[in-house]
Parts: sequence; structure tokens; C-alpha cells
Amino acid sequence: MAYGTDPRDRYSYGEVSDSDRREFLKALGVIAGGSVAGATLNDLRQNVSTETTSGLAEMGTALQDGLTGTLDAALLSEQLAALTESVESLPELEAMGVPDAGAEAYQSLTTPAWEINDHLAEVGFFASAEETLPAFSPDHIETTTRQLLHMEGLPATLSEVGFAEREQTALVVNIVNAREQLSWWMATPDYPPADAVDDGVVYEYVAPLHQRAAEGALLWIDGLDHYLWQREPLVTGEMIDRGLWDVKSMLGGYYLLGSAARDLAAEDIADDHLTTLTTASTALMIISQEFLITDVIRITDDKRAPRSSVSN
Amino acid sequence: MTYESHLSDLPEDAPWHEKPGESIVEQGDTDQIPERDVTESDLAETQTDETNWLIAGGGYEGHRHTTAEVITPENVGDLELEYRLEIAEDPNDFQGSPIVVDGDPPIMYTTVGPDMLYALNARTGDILWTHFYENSDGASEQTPPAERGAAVLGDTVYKSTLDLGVLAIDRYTGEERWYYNGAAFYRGQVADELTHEELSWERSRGTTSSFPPLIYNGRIMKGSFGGEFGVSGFFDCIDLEGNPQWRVNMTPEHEWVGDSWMHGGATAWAAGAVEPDSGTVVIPSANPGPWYGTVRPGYNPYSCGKVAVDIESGEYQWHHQDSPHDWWDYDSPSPPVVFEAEHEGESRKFATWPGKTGWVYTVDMETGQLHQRSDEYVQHLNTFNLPPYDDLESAPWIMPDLIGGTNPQPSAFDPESRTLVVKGTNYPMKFSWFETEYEPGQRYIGMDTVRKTEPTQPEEGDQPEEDVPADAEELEPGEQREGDETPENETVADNGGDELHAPEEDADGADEGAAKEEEAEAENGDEDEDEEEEEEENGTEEESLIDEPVPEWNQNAGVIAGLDPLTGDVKWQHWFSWEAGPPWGGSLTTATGVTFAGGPTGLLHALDTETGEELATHEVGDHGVDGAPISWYDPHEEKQYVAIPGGGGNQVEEEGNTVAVFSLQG
Repeated sequence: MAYGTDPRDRYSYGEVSDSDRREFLKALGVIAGGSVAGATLNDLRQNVSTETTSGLAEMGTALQDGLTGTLDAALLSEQLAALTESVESLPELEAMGVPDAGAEAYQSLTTPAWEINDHLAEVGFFASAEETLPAFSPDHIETTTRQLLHMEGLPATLSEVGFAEREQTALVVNIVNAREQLSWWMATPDYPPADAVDDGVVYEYVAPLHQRAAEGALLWIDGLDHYLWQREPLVTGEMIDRGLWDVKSMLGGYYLLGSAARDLAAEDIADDHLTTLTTASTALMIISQEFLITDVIRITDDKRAPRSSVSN
Repeated sequence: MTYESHLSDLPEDAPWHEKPGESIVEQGDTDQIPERDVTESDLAETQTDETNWLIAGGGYEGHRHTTAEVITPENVGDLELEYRLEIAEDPNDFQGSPIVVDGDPPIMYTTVGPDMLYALNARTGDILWTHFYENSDGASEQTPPAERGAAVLGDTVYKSTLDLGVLAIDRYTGEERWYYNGAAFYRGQVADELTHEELSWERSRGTTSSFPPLIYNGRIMKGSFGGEFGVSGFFDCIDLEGNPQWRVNMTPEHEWVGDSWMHGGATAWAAGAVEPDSGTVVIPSANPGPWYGTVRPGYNPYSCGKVAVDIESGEYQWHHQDSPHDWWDYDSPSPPVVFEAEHEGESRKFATWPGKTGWVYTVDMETGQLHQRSDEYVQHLNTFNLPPYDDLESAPWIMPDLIGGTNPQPSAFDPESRTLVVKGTNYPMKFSWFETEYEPGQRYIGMDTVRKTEPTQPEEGDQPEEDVPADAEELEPGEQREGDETPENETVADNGGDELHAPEEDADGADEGAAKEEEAEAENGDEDEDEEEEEEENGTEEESLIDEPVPEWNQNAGVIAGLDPLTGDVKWQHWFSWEAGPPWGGSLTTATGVTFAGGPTGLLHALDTETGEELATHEVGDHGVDGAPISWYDPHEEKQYVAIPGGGGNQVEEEGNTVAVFSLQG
């Protein structure tokens, strides 16, 4: 998998290697030399400046102004709490392994996220985000990541939803290290139009960029019960382990998005932070669904379970 | 997952029975057609009845297997040519399979693109009537769409049409009985005219094709096409009077983000199969649209796989995607085969098929759970690597390419030896996505491709002995297939064409995708000089890329392979070298252990079903043989016949228009 530079060697499954951390710092203009920063977000923050974060506040203001409805803080809080429980249940899925026929273990994880999703779509959050925020250029990713690192509350928010310190670092490092891949997810008007070309895009059929990322993540998770059960002869423990990290990353991304919306509803978020969290959470959901596809869905012969293990 | 949007609500006020095109019927000596009422029981038994071939796939379960025993491995070399019939006009597409109704004489019904149906005396080749249908959108003369066959019941023969309809035709006279207009209603809208405007474009190979109607228990079923024209696929069921019964939405909306399902493709353009005990139809599905995957996140069901549907109600049973959320055109058009086998002490039904992905998938027919994915029968290299963005140079060579693996070529199954005979293509390809400047009305796919169909510097003796086509000596002196080893003959094509291999089409002739740009170039004759210069520069870049060696490639263009679909073992592979080109079309097995299959160099190959050993070859014509062979025993003549439509030229340059019929006295 790779759009442009292949990010597979720089993707962290909950644990950031020294080389991945070097790559991350290098991308943000930090010459790490022979030593590398520590493993926590606070450690990384010490190495990364916030010098190029101008413009984020204006974008956040515009996003807020573009809403067509009113955010429901109570609904968002309630569903975010439920989403935390979903993440807490992930170890049970690891123990479960390949789901039984008709199982809904993965699908049940996303119920609160779908509630949040429907609400955000209803109030025009996704449409406004696509309208007001730039798409995922490497520059925009770097800018928002700098800002993300300097958000005091980020570690606490990620802890709320069950991410240990090393996992928090992995999430942020993955955003930057897979930034080129993100650029393939474009704002709708940037795709070739169907009225000009045979295989172009009918804009009215395409959901806004941030909604595509969010709903795509949820659809992938929802389908895993069926997919893993159906592909049982091919599935390995490594696929399930990696897939669970990808799922956790997607849910973590959704939690960040929902928490930003919740804080916006409560008028308790700075405009630049709204931009940063919307961008970063969406990036997380994109990256982790792309890696879920690689880790679990597209099974080459070198990855599959041995064929001889199936009785015939 | 919810499949509440699996079925479409069908209105009563659509022009379901109004025909947008025109039929032209010509009659010969129709008195030769004996009266013979083909019953549903006959359809159910045709798979084991040696005297007829009533369903395109050889039976509900698509085995393409004859129980006739006159032809054996020992005498297959003695087959005699009964006749070669040149029908239609060059170039045409012969991807189909005839059907034969037993009688004295037996009558063959065969189709050729675009929308041409022939009734023949199967013994002599006399044309008894023709029914040509001119659809209202027209059809390309240069690249007419593929046709895959007709269906029969009672005294009526049924044919899918290129305007997404079904024609019911008196099988004795060729005259129309009724027409079902499948384009009368689409995505919740009744057509303003007779054909919904979003289903209207000139029909040509690569964008359109016919699904041979399937008939079971008073229901007629057919599919749709047009994945690269912004459609969403559907699959229709009508009754024997042409009244709509149900329509499956091949892009169930609740499983797609936003309204992306409306442009989602997943058409059903290749033939399906029926599991008769449960009354289930298994439908092949095509690639998702558009090709830019980031506008359609998620699995994109039911694209690139198979979906099983209850024939009575249309209700969802299961689906399997060979390539979820596809980017490579790895759709799954090859017809499924349903078979029964012992598993863990229990007799079970399975559905099996080869995919463009280059593996055979075998699923439990009742549940859809994968029982086994076979070992590879074509090569895999960097499979599932996503193409880089605007960077063809650094793109990896990928195998299979966008042709497959196996495209619409129907497999054959030998129940005795439990051998599935499949055909596959085996080319490396590079591709890269790019943003492009659009010309309104021009085709666009935003993809640069380089397809490697010849080795970089072939050395004498490079080829394994088995790679040399057995029939190479039959080619015309000086032809490309003799193996011009100059670098100039390396393929440089953005969509897979070259002098030896099919230009401009995604090989399948109905494969709905590739080969857009070259066709665009052909249509766009007034490009300005700057564009030409730019293209020349690009061409130079691609020419340099095609010189890259791909040491992993075995330098074979394709293969006929025998597999055990239950264990996944590849029993044998019969390769065709890059000099010959890949084999296209379907295959046929006999109860005596012979496999018949057309090849790229004009031959009907007879192989040993157990070992793949070549037993004999017989000449069909001086062109590719893209049709699917069938067989029947004529008790009046005491002969076993083998017929194969040969033509097309999807994978090799030479096109033809031959129906060749061979026989052996019993």
C-alpha cells in the first residue's frame, strides 16, 4: 500500500521505534542527530516548536460559522462516554479471535460513534469542515501536528479513551509519518468531474472529506465480524492483533473528533484547537483505515494462514 | 451490516414493455427446426443429458461438462471438422457459449456482438433464421460489445440486449414475442424516455456486454453493465411474460458512504450460476466506481466478487468480495461453478470461481464462508500495492495486472476428478495515478500504465520448453508471434495494447474498465501540437520503463490450469508464452477425462483433465479463439460434436468470426 512514499515501514502499532521517532522529528524540522526524544507526547513537545501555526484560528472560526444547526453537548457527552466503553472492550475481541457466524462484536463498537456521526452530519459539521479547512497537504499536516503536540489537554483526552502514553505517541507519529498517503484523500471539488470524463466523480454523490474519513472508518469496523468469519482459513493472529490496533486508532480518532465537537457545543474550545483536532482526528481515521485494509483485508499468500491447516 | 437496501422498489408505471430499438429478422429454411418443447425439467437435467446443451454454462451449476463418452483421450486427435461457419462481420466479439436443443436435427442458438442471434442447424451449420437487434444507443462498429449467449425454455429463446433488456423470440421463426425494458427504471426514477438517460451511451467492447439470461422455476434473470459510466449495478428477475419481479441493487446503499453507491459500479455483466436445490443464484460482480477509492471508503459491497440471492424472493443470502475496496479492476466476472463434495464426512455444496486476483475461491454454498483459497495459478508480484501518485517510474511491477488472473473466461469442472479448469493472464504491469486536464466529452481514467507483454531482452533458450506454443509453426511467417526480439517490440501502452496484444480494451471485451485513454486518443484527432509533444515525452518515459527487466516474470502470457477447488491444490499448469499470448474464452470437460479450450493462436486445444498434458490440437481459424466450447451427442448420427465460437481478438491482434464444429463417430 502506498500512495507516493510507502509508509509501511514507518507505521507504529502502539509502540514507536527509535527510527520512526527520528522520521517524525525530521519531518517536523528537528534534527535529531544521534539521539532521539523520549517516548511521550510531552517529550516530543520539547523538541517541536509552534512557530508555523498561524491561520488555524481563522479556519476554526470559519468552521464554526459554517454550521447549519446546533450541536447537542449532552448527546455528544453521552455517546463519547459510550465510545470509551467500546475501546475498553477491545481486549475481549482479542481474546475472541475470529468471530463466530453472525457475531456483532466489532459492529457493536461503533454504535455510539454512529450516533455522533449522524448528529455531526445533521448540523453541517462535515460540510463546513470540508469548506473551511484545507485538505491533507503535507504542510497542513505538519502545521496541525505542531499545534497538536502543544495542546495541553491532548494526553488527558487520549487517556480518557484508553490510550497509554506510548500509544498516544504512536497516534501522533503515525499522522506525520503517513502524511503523503493522506494527500490522496481530497476535498470533493478537487476530484475530476463526471460531467467532463467517463470515470470522474459526481460531486453530489460524494460525502465531504471529513465525513468520508469518519464513516469509512465505521464501515470498516462494522464489517469485520463478517469479514474475519468469512475469511477464517486465511486469518492469522497477527492480522487480528494489528487489526485491533487499527480499530483502536480509528475509534481514538473518532473520540478526538467527538470531543472537539462536544467542547465546541460547550463553547469551551479555542478556534485553532478546533481546526487542529478536526484535522488530526480525521487524519487518524484515514490512516488507520488504510492500514486496516493492508493488515487485514488484502491478504497475500505470504500473509495468509497456511493452506494445509484447513481440513478438506 | 444491514442489507435493507438490497432490493429496489419497482414501480408499475415504468415503460417495462416498450422497446427502444429495432429488430431485423431474416428467415431461411425454418422448417428444419423440429418441434421440441423444452421444459424446466430438461433444463434441470441438461448437465447430465449428453444430447443437448440447454444452458450457456452447460447446466444450472455451470460445470461446462459433457457426459458424452465418444471422445476419449485416446481418440481426441481423430476429431473431424464438420464445418466452419463465418458469421457476422469482422471484427466481432465471440466470448459466448452456444446452446443446443436436441432433435433431428439439433438446433444451435448462438449470439455475436452487437445483439445478433443466430439459429443454426447444428449438424450442418445452415443458418435457419437471424434476429438482429439495433439498440437505440447504437454500437461501435470497430469494437462491438461482447455477447455471451442465449437461453431457452418451451418454444422461446431469450436474449439479453445491449439496452439492458430481454428479448423473447419464437425459437422456430425468430420472430419477437415480447421485450422487457430493463432501462425503463433506474435508481428510483422512471425513465423520461424509454431508456433512462444515465444508462444511455454508445455500446462498445470494454463498456458493455451481455449477461446470458438464466432461467429457473419460471423466472428469467439477467444483469447490467456500465461501471465506468457512473452507473450503479443491478440484477433483474422477470417472469416468463417479461414482467419485473425483483431487482437487486448491487451497491446496497447503507453500506456506502454518502451517496457514493449511486456511482458505485459493481455491475453484473458476466454469467451466473444456480444452485437448484435451494433455488439460489450466484451473481458475479464487477469493480467499484469511480476508480478513485478515496471517494468511496469501506468495503464497497457487492463489488469485485459474488453475491448469492434467493431466486423466488430476491432476498440476500451471502456475498464474497475477492477484492474489497478495489483499486486495480480486480473484479470477479468469471462465472461461478457449483459443486458437491464430501467434507468432514458430510456432503456439502460449494461455489467456486477464479478471480482476477489469480486465486480460486471456494465458499460454502449455504453460508458463503470461504472454505479455501487456492494456491496461485498465475504469478503474483507486489499484489495489492497501491499505485503511487503521478510517479510511474517508481511504481512497482504488479501481478496480476488489470486483465487478471481470470477475467470473464468461464471455467469448466470435472466432477469425477474434482478438477476445476481455469484460464488466466500473466502479465506484469506498472501503474500510477495522476491528475489530468480534462477535455469535455473525452474519456478519462487518470491512470498511466505500462504493461509488459514481452521480455526485455529475450535470449534464445529463455523459454522453458513447455512455454513454446505447440502451434507456433502454424503462424504466418513474419508475424509478431514468431517472436520479434527487438526492443521496439516491447509493449509501451497506457492501457495494455501493443502490436501483438489487444489494443485499447481491457481485454475482457466487456471488462468495464481499462483501456480508456487509448480509445480517447483514437477519437480525439485534433489534438494540438503541444499535446502531441507532451505525449511524445511521456511515450519516451514509458518506453524506457518497459525496458526494465522483471526477473520475477516467467515470461508466459497466460495459462490453462487444473485445480482441486476443495483443497486448493494446483494440479497442473499449461502455460502460453509471451510469443503466443494468453488464452481467452472458456473451457469444457468430458466424462472421459478430456478438457477442451480455445487458445490464442487459433487452435482448439485438447488436454488431459487430470494432468494437463496436451493430447491434440485442432484448427479453428487464423485468429484468437475467445469463445467457450460446448459438446453434445447426436443419437441420430451417432456422433459426439464439439463446437466453439472463435473470434474476438481481445488478447491477440487477429480477430475472426468463426463457429467451428468438430465431431467423432461413435
